[in-house]
Amino acid sequence: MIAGDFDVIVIGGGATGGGVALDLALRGLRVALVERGDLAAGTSGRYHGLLHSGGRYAVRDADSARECITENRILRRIVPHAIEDTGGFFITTPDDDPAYADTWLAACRDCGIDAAEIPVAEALRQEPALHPRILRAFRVPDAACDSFDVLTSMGALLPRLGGATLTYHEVISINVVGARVKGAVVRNARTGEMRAISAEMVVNAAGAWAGRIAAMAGCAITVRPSKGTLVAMAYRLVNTIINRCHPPADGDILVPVGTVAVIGTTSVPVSDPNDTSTQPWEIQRLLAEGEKMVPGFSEVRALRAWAGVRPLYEEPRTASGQAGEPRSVSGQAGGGREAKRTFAVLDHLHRDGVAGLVTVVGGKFTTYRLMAERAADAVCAQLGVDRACSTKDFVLPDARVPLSAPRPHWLGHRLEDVEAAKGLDPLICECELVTRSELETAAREHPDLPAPWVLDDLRRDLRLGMGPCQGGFCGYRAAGALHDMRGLDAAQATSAIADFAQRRWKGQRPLLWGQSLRQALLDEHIYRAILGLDRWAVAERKVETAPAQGSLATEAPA
Amino acid sequence: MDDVIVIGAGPAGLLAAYIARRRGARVRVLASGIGTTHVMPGWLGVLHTSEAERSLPGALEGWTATHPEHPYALAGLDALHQGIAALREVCEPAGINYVGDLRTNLILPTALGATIQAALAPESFAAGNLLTPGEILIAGPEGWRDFYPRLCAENLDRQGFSARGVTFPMPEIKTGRFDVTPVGLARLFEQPPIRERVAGYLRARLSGATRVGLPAVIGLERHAETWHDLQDRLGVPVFELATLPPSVPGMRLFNAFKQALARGGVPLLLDMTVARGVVEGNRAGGVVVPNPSREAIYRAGTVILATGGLYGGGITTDHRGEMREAIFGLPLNVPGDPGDWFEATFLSRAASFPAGRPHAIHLAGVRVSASMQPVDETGRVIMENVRVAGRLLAGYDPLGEGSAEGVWLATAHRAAS
Repeated sequence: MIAGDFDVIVIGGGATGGGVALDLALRGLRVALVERGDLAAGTSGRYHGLLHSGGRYAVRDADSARECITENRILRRIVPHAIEDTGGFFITTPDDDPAYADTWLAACRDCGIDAAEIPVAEALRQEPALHPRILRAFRVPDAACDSFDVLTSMGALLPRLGGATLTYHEVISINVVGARVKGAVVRNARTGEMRAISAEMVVNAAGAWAGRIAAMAGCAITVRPSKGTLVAMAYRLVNTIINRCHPPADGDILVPVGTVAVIGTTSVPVSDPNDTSTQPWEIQRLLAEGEKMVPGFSEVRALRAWAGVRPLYEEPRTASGQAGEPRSVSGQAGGGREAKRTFAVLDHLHRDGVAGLVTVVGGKFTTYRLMAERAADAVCAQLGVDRACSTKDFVLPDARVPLSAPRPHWLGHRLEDVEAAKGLDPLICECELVTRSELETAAREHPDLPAPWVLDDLRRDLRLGMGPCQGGFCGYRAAGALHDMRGLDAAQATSAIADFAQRRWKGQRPLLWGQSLRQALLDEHIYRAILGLDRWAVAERKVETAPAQGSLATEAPA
Repeated sequence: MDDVIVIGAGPAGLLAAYIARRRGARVRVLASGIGTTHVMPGWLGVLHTSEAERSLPGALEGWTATHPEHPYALAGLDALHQGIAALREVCEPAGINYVGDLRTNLILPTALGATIQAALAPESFAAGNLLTPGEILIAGPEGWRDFYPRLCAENLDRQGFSARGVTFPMPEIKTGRFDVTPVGLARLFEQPPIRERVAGYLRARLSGATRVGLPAVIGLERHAETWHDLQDRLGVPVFELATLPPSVPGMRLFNAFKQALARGGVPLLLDMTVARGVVEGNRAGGVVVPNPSREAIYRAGTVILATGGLYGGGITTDHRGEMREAIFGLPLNVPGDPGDWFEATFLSRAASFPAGRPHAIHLAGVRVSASMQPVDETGRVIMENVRVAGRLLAGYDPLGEGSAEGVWLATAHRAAS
């Protein structure tokens, strides 16, 4: 039914792809955004939630730092509903070289980042959990940014601008006729149905998977996937983003996100961008580094671990930098820390002689809009479209469920709302205060309720199952409520519980000690001893058409 | 000084205390809080049986012969039967009667519409036995978050058990500011006018159903009369289905224990967290309960450890991967490194019972002698007057084997005898 029929296909439903699709749609083009999982299911949904001030890159990578602070200011205007202005600190702990702070401060000044030293006592008053013997503290304009909220808004807006958002559609091939891209063939992940979509242009915004997409059009680009592991602690230990004032390293950022605090990351080169495994040494290192910022950190209940894969880009030396300077990574030893975090836009007509294909790769969440603008410029140049980018000033409409979710995120707000509601709207997820009517509203918006991964998609909309019980109670309740809506049958509802349990399990398993271990045993008891779900898990697997584990990135942060 | 101190107020501890008292001992129960009664489904699982070996005694004989380190093999199957007999004594005065012949397992429906094997079940569960033919009407309060009758019925139906699902109005649960838990509903069912209204509504919708399944909320303190009355009003057998915690059937059992212990003069002291044991040579001299002014030491001739396993708190773990028995620091059977404790797949392996492998961590626990005394890795008894009962024991997988209740029944009896 998708007749040939789009000006542009954008591949990749992360922040970059969503940004490109929106940018082009605002310039009047008809755009299909194609994503193999849910929106933000890849790297965009697996970051720590930090809108960088640029301070992290100021010393070694001034270009990235300048891009960050510029975009930081823009995003505060255009996606205000997704941003919580927590502010940020850079702190010199007893484990950090005190001399670095002066170098860093000067570099921030050069990059235009507003970093100001504050008395240690003031920092400790604002954040009493911090290490009491920190030596220096600086205030920077960091913020927390919810990538799910950004992508939800983009995905909802695109159809209203004449485009289409096709989630769970994986690109199988790119149609190249002569030396010209004509469209792509996509497969519906649930039904297996294939569709050919034709378009004048294709934008490859597949992030860590961009090399694989480019290869489908016969173009060789080298993306070095670098895996970063993060851990969500069960409490909001700080209300301000905490950065260590030292050269970027593992576990030196702590971000308050909703009701939890996220520490990240590691940096490990991986050969497969689908590798989102977390290793015990990574967990131990993150906890040990957390101790240096917040004493007692490793005794706090750890809720969930996950990994995202950064798309570090390396342009071969032979190709001249048509779209910016050649980028390089340092190879294996540094684990990607020395790589520049700027981005590249590759116009494959000039680079490889293939018309109709543009790749945008590298970068980071904070600079997604700028990346999108440059990529869209390249698309418009090939199409001969003469319309300027307007995303700097276009405020994204809030498409969240519920619309009233306050910032800063404070559970007490939600409790007040729930208690004030006329008649009782049952709490399906008690940890995150998700009510039945919110679940039903989100479900009505869902494009494919019978899909086994439906609860995981609704989780990204609602935070369902993201609290301490990790779905042990709400998985059954949510599936039962969806079944009552008659959008799916009992077999599908049962598969949905099993699928949700397994996806939650992946993030719990690396952290099973203390209270989390007890919780996991209770959850297993509920699923198996009380509900008998394990008997179904076997039976359903035979008929399930879900893609094999690992081929589809739908795992995402708590 | 007591003859016996029981640590832990889960089912193993409560039953051990009852049995020890019945044998004439002066007994005291110390516990940090209530135990796993409040999350148990309600039925009593002893061992899953296969299609090939449906006989429960045969399956048990075979299992103990091939698993000499299993708690059943150590405690002896006689202890299982005596534990069950003791439990009946505890429960009958409270109006809880267990049905099941211990020859074959009952096949009971779950709230999800899956099936579970159980050796025994309270009689309020019995009509759900799927080995008995007859069309089923599954019913639950409209809009209640903890039970979905249509989902349950549709799953039963597609397995060949003819079932329909229906909700009935229960406006009372929508008037409060808080969600109604299973306990709140159980109290509503204790009110005759509400029962009459529900029964009338469902009677008109039986259309051929020969039994009605409801979530396990049919009365708490006045469960027996509530259930009988509802059944009389409906005119067909009524059975309960286990709900998400808190478990009303488990609370009924806890109350029955509480009453039985009170009749025997056994103090049941909750909020008494034992910090550590006092070790005197190869004996336990007593246990220490800290309080704000001083540490109280409770002494006893015998200490029964029924502190639970990793869930109950009898075994603690930390982020360094250390596993510790909470009271005496007893040696533990630890299954490999922390990375080996859990499988990557959450549910699949155990489902292939009996051939499959559970999460290795389920086998963690204290190894014991045939008298339930803790032993070291060579099998030597290390504390002569300590007995271990229930989930703290090593070497069994309650979920995979279906032995969760059977093991506390058998080992509580053995530990207290």
